[in-house]
Amino acid sequence: LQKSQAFQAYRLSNRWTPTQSNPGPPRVGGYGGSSSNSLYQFSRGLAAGNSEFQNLSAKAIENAYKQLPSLPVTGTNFEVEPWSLAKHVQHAPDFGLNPYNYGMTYADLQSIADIGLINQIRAGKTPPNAQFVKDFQLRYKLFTESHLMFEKNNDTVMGKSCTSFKNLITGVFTSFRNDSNNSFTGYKLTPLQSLRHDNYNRIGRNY
Amino acid sequence: MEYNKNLHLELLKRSQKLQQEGKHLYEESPEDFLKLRDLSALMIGYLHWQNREHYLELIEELLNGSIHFLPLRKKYTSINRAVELLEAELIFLDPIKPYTKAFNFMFLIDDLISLFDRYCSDPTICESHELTEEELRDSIQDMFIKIKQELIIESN
Repeated sequence: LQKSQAFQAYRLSNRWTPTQSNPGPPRVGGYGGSSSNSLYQFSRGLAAGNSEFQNLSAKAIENAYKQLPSLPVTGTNFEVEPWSLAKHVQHAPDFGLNPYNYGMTYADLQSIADIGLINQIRAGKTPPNAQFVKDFQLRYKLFTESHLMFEKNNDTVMGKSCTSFKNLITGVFTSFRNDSNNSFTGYKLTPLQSLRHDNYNRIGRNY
Repeated sequence: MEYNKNLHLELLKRSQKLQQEGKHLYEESPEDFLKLRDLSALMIGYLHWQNREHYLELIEELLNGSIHFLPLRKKYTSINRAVELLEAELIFLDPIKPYTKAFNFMFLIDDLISLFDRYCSDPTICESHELTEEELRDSIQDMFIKIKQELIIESN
């Protein structure tokens, strides 16, 4: 039964293979448009090159993203919260999301991986808009819900005690912190990383 | 686990044939799929090890300059992709040492790359598992020493 379920989960994830489409203009998120401090205004200000938004404190940037609602993972106590995914948005293509559909390029994602989201904003480069983060949250949630049978609750991910859900075939995983039940990180493991995860229950360095 | 080139070739061929038929090796045999994954892992690890001197250079540059992870990430990602390309064309490497001997090195490189996801550029919003620039530099320095020690042990 598990083999069959594993393969069904693989098929589901496989449908998320990123598709190339024409890059469109930056699209601002549509969430919370009526609030004066909304992520909508924040991302619109950034898209317009408004330096007022570039110079916001890190806490204000974090709070802007945190205005998006967390998504509960059905069948678990876990939640996919927006900030953990926004700051690791470079991993979104591993869940089949194409940055071009959100006014970003792969180079933008690489830049976030290189200097971090806060510095990306300070440098006047493109950050993920609300819709990108919301879609990433939804993919993360759906992936987890379709891999519940692969739950491992004694993992150490980047030194944190976590529960993880991994697709053995693709190597894509999601993880949730055991102390807060919030989403932690997720991406596609290499065969080497996946092998190590199977053998030692850990991803990344342990402390 | 020891590297077995003939088995690697056989499993890759079978996997490719099944893919052409719209199937997957995992469907036919999860055990063989995992064997193939592990053989790929050994090949990836070996290529990382073969590039050890350039890795050391890049880590030194990172420690001596501003915090930019891109060169190291690119190197790491390129090697992983290179193995995918080699496997797709059924090209194999004859190792000058057993693949398994490169394991410690490749685990250390893997640890190093994973550190970058924990970088928090602004201490006002750092979470407990995240690292400030200073902490990150200390961790990289620590890893750098371990990698060098590993290479000294290997060369003896």
